[in-house]
Amino acid sequence: MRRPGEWLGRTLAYLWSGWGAVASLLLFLALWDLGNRLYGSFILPSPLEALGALGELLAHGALQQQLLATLFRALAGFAIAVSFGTLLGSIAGLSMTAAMAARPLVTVLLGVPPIAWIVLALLWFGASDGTPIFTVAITTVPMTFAAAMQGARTLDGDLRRMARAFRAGPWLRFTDVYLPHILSYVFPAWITALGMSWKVVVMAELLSTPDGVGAGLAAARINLDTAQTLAWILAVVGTLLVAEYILLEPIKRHLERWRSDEH
Amino acid sequence: MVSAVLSTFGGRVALLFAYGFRPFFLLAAGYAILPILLWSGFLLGWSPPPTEGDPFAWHMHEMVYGLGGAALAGFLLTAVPEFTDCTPVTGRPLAALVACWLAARVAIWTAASIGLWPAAALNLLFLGWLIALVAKPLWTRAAGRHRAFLYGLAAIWVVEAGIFYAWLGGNLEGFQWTTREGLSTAVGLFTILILIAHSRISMVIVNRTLEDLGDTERMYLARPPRRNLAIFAIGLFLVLDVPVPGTTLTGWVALAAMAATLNILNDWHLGRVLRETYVLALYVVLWLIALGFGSIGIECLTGGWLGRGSRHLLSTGAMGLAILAVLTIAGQIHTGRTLADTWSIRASFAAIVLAALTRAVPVWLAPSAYVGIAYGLSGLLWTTGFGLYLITIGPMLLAPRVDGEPG
Repeated sequence: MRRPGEWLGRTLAYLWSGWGAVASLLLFLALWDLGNRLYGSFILPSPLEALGALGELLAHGALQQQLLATLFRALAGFAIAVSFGTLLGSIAGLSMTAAMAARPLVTVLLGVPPIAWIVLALLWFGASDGTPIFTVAITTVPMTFAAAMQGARTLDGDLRRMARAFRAGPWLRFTDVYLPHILSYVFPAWITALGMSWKVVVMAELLSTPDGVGAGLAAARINLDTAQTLAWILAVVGTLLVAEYILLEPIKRHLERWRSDEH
Repeated sequence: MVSAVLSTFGGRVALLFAYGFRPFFLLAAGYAILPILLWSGFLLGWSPPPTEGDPFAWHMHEMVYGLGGAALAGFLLTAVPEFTDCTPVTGRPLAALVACWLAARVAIWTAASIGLWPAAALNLLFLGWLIALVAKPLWTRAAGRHRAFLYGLAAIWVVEAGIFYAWLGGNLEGFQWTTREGLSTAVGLFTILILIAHSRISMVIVNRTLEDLGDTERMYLARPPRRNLAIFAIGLFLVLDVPVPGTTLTGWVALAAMAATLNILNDWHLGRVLRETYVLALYVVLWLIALGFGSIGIECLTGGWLGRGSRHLLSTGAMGLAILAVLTIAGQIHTGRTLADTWSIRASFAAIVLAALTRAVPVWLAPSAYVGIAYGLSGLLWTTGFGLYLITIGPMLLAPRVDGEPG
């Protein structure tokens, strides 16, 4: 059991290491601002204008409401991908035959462009929550499936035999031998899948639903409101950045500690 | 009798020029005080300082190139032989360089009657001479690891030429380049030089302090990518500040410079070593650079909300504290001592930090009636800081090394 002080120190150190990322993001804002100076606010509103529009959306409460709707859909699709994709992938990976048979299917599923899935989903689910959730799930399942399959395929036979030799029970073998190994494959895929869900959900919403960030973007497009468009983009990217660096990255570090040291 | 006095005097003089840091650190500390006394008086309503043209340009120039130039000379003439293992500049050549610096000061102070040309010539000569003295070892030795200093020095020289061009009434087509803007650029270039020098000094000071504390687990490492990102952002800011000053574009880059400097602090969070005087002083220098660029960024993005006074976080704060820290550290080590941690040294560091804060912060918050008091207080604190230096370290600069080594 580590002291809470040490935990706090680690957390602060982690948060502080974000300044490098902040610096390069700010340099990107400068580049954006340069674009605004060159092409004018109609083509590319300045970062401050976009932030102002974002503030306005926030003040009206529109932002929180739509973000929640989008978040729900993205996470629902993502949850399906994580649970089904990972589970089925791990099972498939345990059998050489299943893995061989599944590989072309993964390639096919990954090859279908998300926009094609959206059209199908529209036909099947109409303008309901089902369309974005289905699209997210079907585009991200192959990623988690493939990664889990790869993880299960490459399980170290020696380690497995050693665990058996030490009479480790099935549960212990699962949590201490198989799981860390598979997780090291699956986790990066989850992160990629989450990023993908977040992008796909917005695209699906743009074409299908009356609410959500995608619908907000569609409205901004109709009104030729570039600033508001950028505000929505900022909201989407900002949420993703927060999720990635505040939530996923610490989990990833925690899970991968066994790789670097003895903890 | 007379000859005995003369020989003692001669010995003292010879000792003064035994190593570059001795005369230049004394002059720097003295020159930190004198012009600021005059300047604080001017801000509080006395007569303007003796100069030609913009008195603000005089104030800025004498602090940046007068004080900064002396400190830079003392630092380079002492550090470069150590970094590159070359022969130090001592004796007559050193005395001649000191004379050149003094002549440049006299020329500035008398510019109202003799014109600005002598000041321009002598200031550029001094800097150029200094660069010439250190250029070869910095370029060729130590596998060129210290060349970054040379780029910075060259930029500082070019900007000085531009400053005098504007001061003499020259006009760059299309740019609002005045002496003051040039001097702001120079302050930024000094912060870059400080970052470069700072990393080399910190490697020694922080690790030595860790060792003294018995901390064998941790080690301080000044990571180049972090420093280079900060230098890049500051450099980009300085370049943009010339054609598009005060714009949101420049503001974002200034904020990036702040974030990149705060990122350097990641190297520094090593536990209780940060509570030690010298480590803390060097650490605070980085904070002041970050706060300085942060306030400039906010000033640009809000259209002048914080006012230009916040640039004193960089000049009075970062430059002032970095200079005082280098003067204190090198002044002791190169006279054969270990670093003393006395109340007067702590107080001198604290005084400079407070001087910067009282100069920059009240302008943001207080009604203008109180700002005058803040100016006066800031000047007093600054003078106290360097005054304490002259009292505690000053005598060491005039005495032989305690370990009997030459230099």
